[in-house]
Amino acid sequence: MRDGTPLATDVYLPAAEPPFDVLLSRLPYDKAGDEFFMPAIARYWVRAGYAVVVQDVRGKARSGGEFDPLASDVEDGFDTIDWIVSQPWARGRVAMIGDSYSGYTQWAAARSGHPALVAITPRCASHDRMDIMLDGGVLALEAATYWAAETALDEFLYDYPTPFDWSVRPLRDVFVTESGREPPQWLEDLVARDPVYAASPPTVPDGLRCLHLCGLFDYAVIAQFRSWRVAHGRSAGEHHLVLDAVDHSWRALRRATDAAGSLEQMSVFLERYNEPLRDFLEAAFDGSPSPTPAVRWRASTEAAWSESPTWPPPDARELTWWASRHRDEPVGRLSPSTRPRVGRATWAHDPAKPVPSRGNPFHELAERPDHRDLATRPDVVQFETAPLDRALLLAGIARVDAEFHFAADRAHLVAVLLDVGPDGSCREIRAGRQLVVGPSPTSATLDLGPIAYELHPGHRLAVRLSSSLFPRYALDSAGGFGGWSAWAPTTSQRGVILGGPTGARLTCAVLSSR
Amino acid sequence: MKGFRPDPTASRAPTDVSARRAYTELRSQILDGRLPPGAVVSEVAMAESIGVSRTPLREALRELLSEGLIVGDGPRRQVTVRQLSRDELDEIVRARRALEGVIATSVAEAVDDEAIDALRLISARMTRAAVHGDAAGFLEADDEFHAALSRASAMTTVEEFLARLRSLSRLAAMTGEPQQALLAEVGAAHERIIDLLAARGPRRGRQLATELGRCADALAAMGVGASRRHDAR
Repeated sequence: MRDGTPLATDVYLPAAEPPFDVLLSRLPYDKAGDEFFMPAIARYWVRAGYAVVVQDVRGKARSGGEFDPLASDVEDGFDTIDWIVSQPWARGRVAMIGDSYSGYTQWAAARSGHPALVAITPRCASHDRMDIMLDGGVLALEAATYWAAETALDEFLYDYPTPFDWSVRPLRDVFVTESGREPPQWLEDLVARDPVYAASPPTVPDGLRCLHLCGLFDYAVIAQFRSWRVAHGRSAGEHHLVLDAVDHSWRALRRATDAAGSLEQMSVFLERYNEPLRDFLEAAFDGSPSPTPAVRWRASTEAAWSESPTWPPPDARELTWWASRHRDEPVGRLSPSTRPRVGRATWAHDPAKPVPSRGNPFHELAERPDHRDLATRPDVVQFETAPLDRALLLAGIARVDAEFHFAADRAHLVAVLLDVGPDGSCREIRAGRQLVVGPSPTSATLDLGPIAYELHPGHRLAVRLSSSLFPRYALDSAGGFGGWSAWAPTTSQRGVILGGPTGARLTCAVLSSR
Repeated sequence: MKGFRPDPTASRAPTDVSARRAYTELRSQILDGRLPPGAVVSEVAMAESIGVSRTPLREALRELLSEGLIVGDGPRRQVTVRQLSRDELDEIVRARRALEGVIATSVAEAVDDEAIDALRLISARMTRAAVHGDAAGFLEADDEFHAALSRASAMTTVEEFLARLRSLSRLAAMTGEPQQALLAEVGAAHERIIDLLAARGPRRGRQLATELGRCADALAAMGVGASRRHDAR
């Protein structure tokens, strides 16, 4: 690199005569390790005729320098591309691949504006990592803490035990207890940051082609979709969106059984994982018009891909379901017609006994936990549609609007979209959160991001409101994120208006004729 | 979180039983210095803190006894962490040098690019551990470095003996104060080992044996410092 720091780099070359078009991936997870199994991915693309370059980012694995998340990836990306195009085996054009942090390093390299970079394919990553962590102004506590343990320290902690013991207080001590070390500075900074966070827009050089690969069950999807929407709307570059029914690790949702998604054999996985890139990369290197549709999506990996010129699909119809509840019902109703104002639905928020989130924060589909026992807790309110008489295909951008009442000057609103089976099982479709800043009451909009999900006949669509989902999200204690370095929980009442023009409601587009 | 895409639930499933867990936990407590030489290993307290019953704990103790990391001759027949004398340490170094000499040539011929890449990763970890003053982490990675080399020899019997000798020299080294100069010496020897393996030059087997000997000596020197202090107590 320009400062003389060597970055460890693997080069995979096809057996054919050079030069080659080059795929580059830069990651902090070991260029040759089994966590991201880049050797298998590289060999897949070498067989397709590409040279593949995989690099440990600064300060990680074998690379020199200090790891400081997001600090040096613009310059290091530029210098690496520069080095590649000076090699005799390189034709002079580079595209980038990779997920999560290595999706972010693609955005960073794009920002460097290196002219040899023709395409990026960020997967499960937004252009602004902090936007993922602070989506809605509420810290993704669990993911941030695990990521800190895994990545921001050093490789000794690759084998840290999960799950962490989240009963430890204050919350900072969860990290200290589990890792035996102090949290890295960036995590302290993230916690201390004003959570009302505005991501900077992505920088897309003219002519750059971007394939945004989103997992509909990935914790990063809301922020990543926002990346696409902003980049797409700014007319620089060329943007393609893939919405697939997978989680952060690209594990597939298996609708046939609704069971925990097991993983295929590596060769089958690699095909499913890489296939959406093939035509896109070929056209990007050729400079020919892309055959890749603007949006490719599916609600299940067992379904065929659908194509659309934008998202939501133009033939999708926006529907709003209004929340209501009779006095004695433990669970309220969602119905597609306006109701007269009936008052409030309230819940008692107690940060000492938060609503539990379940499952692994990076492998959301490794298990699909049942949430039915949470529906009637005193600290949540849940609303459900009547059982569906035919299948309902959600294909839009979901949001919850509500007039939100709370005691402090700011509070967390959490919404979980659920698929309630005929047997009463409750499976999460999407969760979102929003820091609502007072004075109370305030009308709040909670962005749940892009949804493509099919509810079967006999199932109900439900939304669950609360002020906590722990440890997934930071705790709302004393209005905002408390409990990191000191712990003094206080309980308070929260509520939303039901019925009338400001009544709590869920909105999402649906497709009826499929 | 190891295994980003491979099934995380599989890696969580305890393939073993509490005996394995007790063994791994006790061994790491001994080798990272939480249980220093001479410390009494109480069956009841250990079983409780690790969260296993006493039968698997006894099984773990038997294994550690046979590895020589603990001894059963403490006062009141207690089990204690082994305290190596200077003579014992000297014997360990000589045995290590001899056995690493046996494997050096085949190791040098067997290592390929991927094996060298793996050694580089371990070496980078050692450098970071040294920077952070993490002697236990350094010595653990050092053990991995030498284990990776001896694995390449495909001489399983020698590999087993060497693993045992290494844990004993690690036990001795860990009890000393972290000695930056000696850590740096081991780190530099590892860098030279990687370079000479990568260069694929002639007579690299013999050069490798020399460098491996330097590593064993440096570790022993840390241990000697420690055993002097024990002798003085």
